Amino acid sequence: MKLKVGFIYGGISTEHEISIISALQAINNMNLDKYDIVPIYLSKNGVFYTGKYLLNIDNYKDLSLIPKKCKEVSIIKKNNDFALLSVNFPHKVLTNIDIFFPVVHGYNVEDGSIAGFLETIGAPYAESDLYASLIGQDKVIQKMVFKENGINIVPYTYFYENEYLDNEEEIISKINELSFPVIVKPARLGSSVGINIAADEVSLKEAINEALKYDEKIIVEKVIENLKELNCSVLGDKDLYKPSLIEEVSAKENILSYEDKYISGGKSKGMASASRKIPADISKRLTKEIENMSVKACKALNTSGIVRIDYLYDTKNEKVYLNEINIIPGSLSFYLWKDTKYKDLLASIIELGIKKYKNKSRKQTSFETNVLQNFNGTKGIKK
Amino acid sequence: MKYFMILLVIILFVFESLFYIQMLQQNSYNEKNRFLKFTLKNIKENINYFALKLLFAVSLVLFSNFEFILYVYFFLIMFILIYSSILQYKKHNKKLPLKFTKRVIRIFSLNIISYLVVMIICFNKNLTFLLGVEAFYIALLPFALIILNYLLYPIEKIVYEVYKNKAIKRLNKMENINVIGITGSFGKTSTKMILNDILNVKYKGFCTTNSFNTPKGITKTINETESIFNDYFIAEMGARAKGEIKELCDIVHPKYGIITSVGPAHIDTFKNIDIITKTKCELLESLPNDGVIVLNKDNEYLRKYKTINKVKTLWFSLNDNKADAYASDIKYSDKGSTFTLHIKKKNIQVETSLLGKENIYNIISAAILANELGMSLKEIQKGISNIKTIPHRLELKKTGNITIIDDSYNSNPVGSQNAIEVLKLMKGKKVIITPGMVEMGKDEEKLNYEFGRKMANVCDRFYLIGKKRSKPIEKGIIDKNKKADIKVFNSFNGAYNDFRKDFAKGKVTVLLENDLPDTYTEN
Repeated sequence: MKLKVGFIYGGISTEHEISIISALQAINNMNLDKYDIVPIYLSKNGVFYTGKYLLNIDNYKDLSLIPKKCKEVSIIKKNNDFALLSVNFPHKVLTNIDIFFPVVHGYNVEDGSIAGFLETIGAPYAESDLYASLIGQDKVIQKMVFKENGINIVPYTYFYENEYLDNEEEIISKINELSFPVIVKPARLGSSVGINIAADEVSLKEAINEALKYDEKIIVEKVIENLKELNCSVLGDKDLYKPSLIEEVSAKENILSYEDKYISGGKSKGMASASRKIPADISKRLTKEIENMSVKACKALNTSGIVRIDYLYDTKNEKVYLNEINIIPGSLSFYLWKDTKYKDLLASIIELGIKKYKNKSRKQTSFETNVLQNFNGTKGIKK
Repeated sequence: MKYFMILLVIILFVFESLFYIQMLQQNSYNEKNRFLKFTLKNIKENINYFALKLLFAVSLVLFSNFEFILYVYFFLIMFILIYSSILQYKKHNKKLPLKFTKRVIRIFSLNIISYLVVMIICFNKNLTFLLGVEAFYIALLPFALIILNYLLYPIEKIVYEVYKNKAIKRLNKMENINVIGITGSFGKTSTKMILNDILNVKYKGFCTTNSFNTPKGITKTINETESIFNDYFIAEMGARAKGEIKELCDIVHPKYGIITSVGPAHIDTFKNIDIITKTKCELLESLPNDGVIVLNKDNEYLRKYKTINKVKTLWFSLNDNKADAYASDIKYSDKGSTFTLHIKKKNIQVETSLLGKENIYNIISAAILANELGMSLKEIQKGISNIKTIPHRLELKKTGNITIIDDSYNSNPVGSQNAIEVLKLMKGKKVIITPGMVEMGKDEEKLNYEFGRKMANVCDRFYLIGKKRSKPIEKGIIDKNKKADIKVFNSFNGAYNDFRKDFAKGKVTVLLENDLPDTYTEN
C-alpha cells in the first residue's frame, strides 16, 4: 500500500519562492510506485492550499490565482489519521496524509515553526525536529552549541536592536575588537538577504542598518580572508550520519548573494545552479576533517534527515571554520549526492522521519489517569 | 393527571431500560444466550420485585376506571417501583457503567420506538388499560430487548463488516509490521502487556487494550491505534468456542504466536479439554511457513499436541533445562521477583516488580519471542525491569500499613493457587477477600472446596462474598482449620469496609481474589 506524503512548502519567509522550487524538485523526483504525493502550499499570508494545480511550477508565476484554483485547507487529526480538511463549506476531508515532508526555507518556517506545528498535533514528519530546527536557524545559538562541542567557529559578537539603539558606542567598540573587515548578518533569517561586509566603522553602521531591516537580532563575525567556501551535506540520524561529497562554491563577489544563490544560472532552478565544483579541489586530509566536523555538528543538534553545513576555509592558514548549518537545505542538497539517485535520497529522508516518529512515540508523554479527576481547583499547581 | 401518570410510567421505563441495556451490553449482547441466562437468574433472585411489576400490570388492565383508592394504589406502587429501579440502576452503574456506544443508542432507540408504538395503539382505550399495557411492557422488558436485539442483528453484522474491512485495510497499510498472536487459557493479557513493555525498549508498536480479545475488540484496536507507523502489533486472542481463534487469525494474519497454557478455563462452554487444546492451537496452525510459535513446555496438553503446521517452535519452561528458554533461581519479596533468565544457552540476571510463578512464565515466553524479534539479552533485561504492574493481576499496592495484592481479575484454579502462594510469602497478618471461582462448569463446587482447603492455613481472616456461592470454600477452610476466622458478606465493598474498620491494624497483607463484575454479586 502506498504511503501518502504531504509536502509542505512556501510560508511567510523571504525564501518563499526558493522553497517552492525545492519542493517541486523533490515532488518531481519522488518514486510514485511507493508514494502518493499531496502538495500543501503555505501562502505568503499563512493560508494552506492543496490541489493538482500546485504541481506545475509555471502556475506560481501569478500567486494571486492560487486561491481561486486551489482548495483552502487546514491540517487536522481525525479518527487517528491526519487529514486535510476543506476550510470552506461543506468542510469535507479532502485527503489523509500519512507523513508530512516540510520543504521550507528560512525564518517562520524552517526555524521549527512547521515542525512544532506538526508536533503539536502529533503528526509524523520527515526532516529534523523542532529543537534542531530552532538551533539551526539562529546563527548565534548554533555557534554557542558548536563551540561547546569543540567545533571550530569564527570569532563573533551579537546584539539586539534595542541594545544597539540605546548603546551604539559600546556595541561598535565590541565589534572593533574582532578587527575589520567584519560581516554583518541578521541572526535568524536564513537566506543571504541583509548580509554585508564592512571594512570600517562607516560601512559597519550602514551594514547594521541594512541587517536590522530583517531581524532585531544581529550577528557580526570576523571575515576570513583567503577564503574558500566549502559545503557538505549530511544524511541520517543519531544512529548513523553519512557525509556527502564536498562542494566548493565560487562566489562572484565576496559573499554568496541572494542572486548568486538562487537566481543566476538561467534555466536550471534552485541551489543546484549556483556555480560550484563537486567534489571540491581539496586535500584528502581536509576532506576527512570536514566530514568529521559535519558528523559532530549533526550529533550536537541531533538532526534527522538531510542537512547542509557550510564551511569557511582559510587557505593561507589552512584552517577550517564551521560557518552555519542549514536544517532544510535548498534543493535538499541532492546535487551533493552524486552516487545516490534523488528518489532514493528522498525515500531515505522519509524512512528517517518514520523512525524518528516511532522513537518518539515509544516514550511515554501522558499518563492514563487524568490529574484533573482529583483536582479541586483551590490549590496552586506545582509542576 | 392522566399525563402525569403516563409520565411516571415513562420514568420507570427509562430506568428499567437503562439497567437492562447495561446488562445486555455486559453480557455480550446475548451471545450464547448469556443475557437470557442472566435475566432468568435475576428474576429468580428478585422474584418479589418481578411479581410486583407483573401483578401491578395485570391489576391495572383489569380495573376499568380510576377511583380514589385506585389512585392511592397506583402512586404507592409506582413510587416503590421507580425508587427500586433507580437504586438498581445506580448500584450497577457504579461498578461498570453503561457505555453509550452507537450500538447501545441503536437498541435504545428501537426500544423507545416499540414502546411508543404500544402506547399509541392503546392511547384511545381506557386509561387503566393503557397504563396496564405499558406496565406489562416494562415488566417483560428484558424479553422485549432480546427480541429487539435479535431484530437488530443483521444491521450489527453489516456495521461490523464495514469496521472489519477498514481495520484490515489499515493493518495492510502498516508496512513490515510483525503481527503477534497470544492465546491460552490463562495469562494472555499479562503476557501481552509484558511483551509490549519488553519490545518497547527497541521497537514501536501497539497491542489490544484491556481484555479486548474478540474479533470486535481487535478490529476496534486497529482502527483506533494512533498511527500507521508500527514495528509490531500484539493481538490477544480469546475463545469461548472452537473456530474462534482461527477467525481472529484470518483477520490479522499473525506471523508469531505464543500459547501460554491450556487448562480448564471457560470449560462450561467448551465441553472438554481436547477441544480447548485444539482451539488454542488454531493459532499455531494458522501461522505462515516462516512463522514462529512459542509454547509452554510445562503444559502437558501442549506437549502432547501433534502439530500439522511445520513452523519453528520455541519452548519455554520453569522445570526443563533443555527448553529454549527457562528461568532459574527465582526469588520473591514484597518488592517483586528476581531470577536468572536462560535463552538459548545464554543467561542474564533479571528483576521485575511482578509477583508469582505465573508471571515468571509470562515473562520468559515474552522474552524468548523478543529475542526472536532481534532483541539482545541486555535489551530484554532492560525491558523486564520496565514491566509495569498489571492492574488486578497480582498487582502490589500499598496504602499505609496495608499491602494489597489485587488479583481480582477473572480467575482459575492455577492462578488462585499461585496467589495464595504469593500471599504465604508476605510478612505480617494475612487476609483474603474472595467470592471464589466462577464459570468452572460441573467441577466448580469441587474446585472451590479445594481452593478453601489451600487457603485454610495461610490466612488469619477469611472474607467470603455471597452466602450461597461461598459455601464450598467455607467448607474447605473449616475442614482444614476448625478455628478459622470466617466472615461472609454479600458484596465486596461490605467485606472491604469491614476489613478496614475491624482488621487493618498493624502490618497486614490483603489478597483480593476474584472480585468479579456485577453478575456474581448476590443481593
